[in-house]
Amino acid sequence: MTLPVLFKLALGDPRESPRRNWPLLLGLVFGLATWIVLEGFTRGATSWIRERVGGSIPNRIRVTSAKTQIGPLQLGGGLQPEAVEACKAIDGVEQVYRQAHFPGPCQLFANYGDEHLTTDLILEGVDPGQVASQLPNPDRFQDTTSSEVPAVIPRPVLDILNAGISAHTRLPNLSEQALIGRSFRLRVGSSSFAPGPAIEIKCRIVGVSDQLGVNGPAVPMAWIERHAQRPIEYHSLTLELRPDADLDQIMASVERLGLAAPDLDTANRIGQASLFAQALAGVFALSILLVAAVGIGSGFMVKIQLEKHDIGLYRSLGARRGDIARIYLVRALSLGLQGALLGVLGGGVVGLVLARVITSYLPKGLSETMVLFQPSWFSFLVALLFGPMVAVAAAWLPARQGARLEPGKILRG
Amino acid sequence: MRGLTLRFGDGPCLFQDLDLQLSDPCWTALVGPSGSGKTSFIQLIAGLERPSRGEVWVAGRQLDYSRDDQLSLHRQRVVGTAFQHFHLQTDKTSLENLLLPLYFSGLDLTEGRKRAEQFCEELDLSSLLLSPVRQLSGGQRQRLALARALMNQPRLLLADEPIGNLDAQSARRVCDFLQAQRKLGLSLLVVTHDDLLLEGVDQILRLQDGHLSVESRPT
Repeated sequence: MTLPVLFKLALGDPRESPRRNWPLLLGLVFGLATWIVLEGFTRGATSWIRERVGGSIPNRIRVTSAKTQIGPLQLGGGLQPEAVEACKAIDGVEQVYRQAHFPGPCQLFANYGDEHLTTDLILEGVDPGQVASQLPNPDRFQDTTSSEVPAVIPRPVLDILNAGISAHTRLPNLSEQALIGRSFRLRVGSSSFAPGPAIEIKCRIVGVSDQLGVNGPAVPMAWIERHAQRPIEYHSLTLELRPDADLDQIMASVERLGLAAPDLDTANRIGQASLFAQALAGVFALSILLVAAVGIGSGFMVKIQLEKHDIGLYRSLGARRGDIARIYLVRALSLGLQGALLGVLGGGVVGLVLARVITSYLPKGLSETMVLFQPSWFSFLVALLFGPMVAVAAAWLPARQGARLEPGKILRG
Repeated sequence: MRGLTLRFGDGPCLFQDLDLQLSDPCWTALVGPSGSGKTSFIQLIAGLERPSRGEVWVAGRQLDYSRDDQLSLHRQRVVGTAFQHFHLQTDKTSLENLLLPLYFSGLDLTEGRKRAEQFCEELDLSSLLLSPVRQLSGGQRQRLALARALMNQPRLLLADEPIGNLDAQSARRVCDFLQAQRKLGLSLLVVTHDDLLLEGVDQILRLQDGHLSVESRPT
């Protein structure tokens, strides 16, 4: 039997229309759509958490002294200029950016609507290169001569601020665009815990960056160096790597210097958790597909019973057992492809709609930067392969049984 | 055939130890009372039933009932079967039904289409070639089933009551059609009680009480 004939006999039958086959399609579509949705949300959440922890700029590692670090808290141990030079000397490191706390207390005063915000904080100093690529106008962050000191807000802090605004006020959330150009006052050298002589400065926000960790607002390192009363120790260094750099070798060099990359460890742990979540999503989708396969198998059994007469006729006209089996397997393949296409499409649409609904409940500033649903090409490919595979596997036994029917017995009635 | 025996399950033998040799080409009629096993006899030769015992040789080759592929090839190339109950696909057109045997034998479909048109013309079915079979009358269906059995140009036509539902004129047309095929070397084993068909056969076999006997031709 030639291929065109096989397809004609398998799919040319009006009984094979999707309208008639929808009960068999349903399980496949549901299983595959579930996979697309769960995988997409797992990836979306993972990528969001990763960005918040390690930032979105590739080929960067943040290193700290290998002392105890619990989230944003680091217990002791600053880095000296020698560590900066040592890191610059590591093969594969293109640039080293320093980040330090201002060595003294600090207090922030800001207004938003009728709300007044006063908080003690740790003022950060960073090399401009660390955040430059994320600022709409990088030059403004270099300028420390004007009366207003340029400041960058860490992205996670903006998220926390927005969560607070949502929970406690009726004010709209703060987006990056809304923040740029706004200003706040800093009292440097004094806080509610350590009152003392202080200078008061005005800061203008020039951007938001995910390169700063969960810290206070950051001003240029040069300003910190100029105003610090005692020597500065850097709490972390951000190494910018060449794209072809060997990460393992660099990490070995970093460890030899007595430094650690806690963000990298966290990212690895997040990666493992994400893989586990994806595997769980896969198992869940597979269990739905298993039920769908049982349905398809039963459906094909019924089909074979209903079409027994045609099978007998084909066999009496010279069809081989293999021809009969192939007819039903091509039908299953077609059903699987239809299920896969509808599942991928349905999963994509449901995922997008769900993501939109969820983000509509999130603070505005947060939802703007958050792509919750990020399905991968891999998941589409898996769905497109699995749909037909499951359908063909489910129809295998019924097709085999149909092929083994005795034509004489069928035609005898 | 030698020692051909057929029984279904644990039931009694439908026929037992039948021996028969037919020349090629040869036109043979099979007669016998209802339930004597005529249809089963034909299906055995078509390879659609498996004998309990014995062997069948067609066109110089023994049918190996244990090899399904060989039986399929036998049905594709050697025999054509016109069933008593037609077994047509009623939701398909006459042409689609006629082309079905060619789908499995892999014979040329263009030539097959021409043959289908020619058969339909000879059997007065031309105007119904593209009509769904459900629109055809019983007689038209019977002629169509006969035409389908000949689409693969078999050496042996097995026909079960091929003119049973036909009026005299149509029956005559079918007989003429078969005679034309006979000139091309077709052998025929036909189950019939119709004198019109019996007139044209070389010999008549009677199957009764499980035994096969050769009867004289009607004068």
